[in-house]
Amino acid sequence: MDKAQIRHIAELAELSLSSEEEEHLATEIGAILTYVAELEALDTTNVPPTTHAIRAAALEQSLRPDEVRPGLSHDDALAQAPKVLRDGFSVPSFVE
Amino acid sequence: MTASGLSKTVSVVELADRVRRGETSAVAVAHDTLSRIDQDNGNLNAFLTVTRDELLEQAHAIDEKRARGQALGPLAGVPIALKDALCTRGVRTTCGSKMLASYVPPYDATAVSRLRAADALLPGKTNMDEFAMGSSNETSAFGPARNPHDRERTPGGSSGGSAVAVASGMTPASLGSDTGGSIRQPASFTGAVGVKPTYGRVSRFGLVAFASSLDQIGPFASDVRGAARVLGVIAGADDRDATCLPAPGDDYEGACGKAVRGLRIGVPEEYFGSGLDPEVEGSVRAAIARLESDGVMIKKVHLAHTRHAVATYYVIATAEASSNLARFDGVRYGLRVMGSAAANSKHSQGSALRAMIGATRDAGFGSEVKRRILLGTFVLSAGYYDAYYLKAQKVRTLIRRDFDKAFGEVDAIVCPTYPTPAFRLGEKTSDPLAMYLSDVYTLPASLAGLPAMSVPCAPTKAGLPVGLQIIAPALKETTMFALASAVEGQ
Repeated sequence: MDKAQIRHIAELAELSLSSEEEEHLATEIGAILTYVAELEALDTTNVPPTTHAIRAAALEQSLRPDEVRPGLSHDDALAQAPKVLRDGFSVPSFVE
Repeated sequence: MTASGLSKTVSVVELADRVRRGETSAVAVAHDTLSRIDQDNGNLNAFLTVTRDELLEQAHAIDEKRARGQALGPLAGVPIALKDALCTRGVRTTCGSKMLASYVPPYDATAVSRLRAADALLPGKTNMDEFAMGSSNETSAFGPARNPHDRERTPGGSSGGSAVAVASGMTPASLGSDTGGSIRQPASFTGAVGVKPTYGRVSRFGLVAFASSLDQIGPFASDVRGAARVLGVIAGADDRDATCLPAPGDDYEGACGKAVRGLRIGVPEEYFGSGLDPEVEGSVRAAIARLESDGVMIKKVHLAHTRHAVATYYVIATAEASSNLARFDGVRYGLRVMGSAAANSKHSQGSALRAMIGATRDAGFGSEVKRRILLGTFVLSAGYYDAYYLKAQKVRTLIRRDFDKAFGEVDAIVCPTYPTPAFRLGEKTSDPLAMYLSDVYTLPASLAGLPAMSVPCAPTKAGLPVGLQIIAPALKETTMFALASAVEGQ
């Protein structure tokens, strides 16, 4: 994995990395990916993927009725926000 | 002399019985707990937050409840430490990260509210690898917890602090979470009993998410019966977690001490290969031989895809983590970094919002968390999804099928929890891949969603604990507890 690749991935992950970080993360992740590539050798023809440890049927049973219930209060939901403005989450500008 | 008159090795069950009978008060137990924490925590760094006032309030309330003649719950007056990944209403929950260093949740995790309802005492929040990503507690933003058997060694991770709280006698039980071994491995390193229940057995509501298809909350305790009692309290359906199984919990405590004669256990060849420390192997094999003399039938089994578990896990878990940790964006809770850091950000051409998010995540996450987010983002990215993520999900099926086949022949599988005893702090931090590779014995059961636990067997000559791992079929925790109590009684 090279620096350009790690920069692209970091942008997808919304991480601003320093150049030193880019350097050592590219090396480490490259080494891990080389190891992970051993999976290629396994024959998985006609093997379905496991997306979850629980069979879908068991999950179906555990869904509760879709009805409105009280949740967090407005104040509780905002209590931990780094910045609040007029009863909402305040964010820096994102449209010029 | 302690306030309660009880030693620090008192078990969960005995402590609860004595408080229920009024032989000691919950307030006396709370004072003992606080003085043990005061005495040992400076050296061991097990607790990140100690909730003194809340603890004494809880204890008073329990004593008053008893004085009024009301029945007390099954964990009456039992101090239980909580991994700092579990949300606690009004009490800081850091998840071992600078990102959440001052986060105070507005609600309790379901497991926590069930402990409260059972009249447990909750003295505080324990140290852990950042966002539960690590096997040594060294990725914690607050410094590592230390192993009480040798303070230069790691207590394991990620639930290191919860293991230390129990192993050092600060609390007789604690809660941890296990995604790829984060309860079992620290239990093995510290000589505690540690249980990862079947995936879906315990509600994950209020557990800070790492890898949602793998995460599971479970207990540590100083003995098997104590772990069984705690699991009995926290297990069972919860309509706040759609992945929590509708099946009610079983009588885990009743399974402890049950005859094991006639049970068939499988010993997988693949767990006794190269890399296994000879002393660990000797201890585990000796425990298996004693089970055999108790009338347990021993059978060789094959879990052929074991060696692929590490690659499979580190694709699936990081993919899920990259998605779960996207929520830490400096908007709704947690850290926000603006100003010059944001101005220097590589995203500053995008917008002030993206610059803030990038700078916040760079400052808030430590290097192991960044490494896993990036790896997970990569394996999910266009052009690589099929080759890595989908492939790993298919291999996960093969790993699961290995267990399905083995459980056609045996009632449980017994093997080492970890290839070595506790390693030294700093020994593996420079090589992340080496750290990942050692998780090979705990990862397969996680990928298959199976219940598994670590129970101490004979320590090494140097006195370091060794853990024996028992893996059972889904929802058969009772078989696991019966075998664990047989091993404990050896």
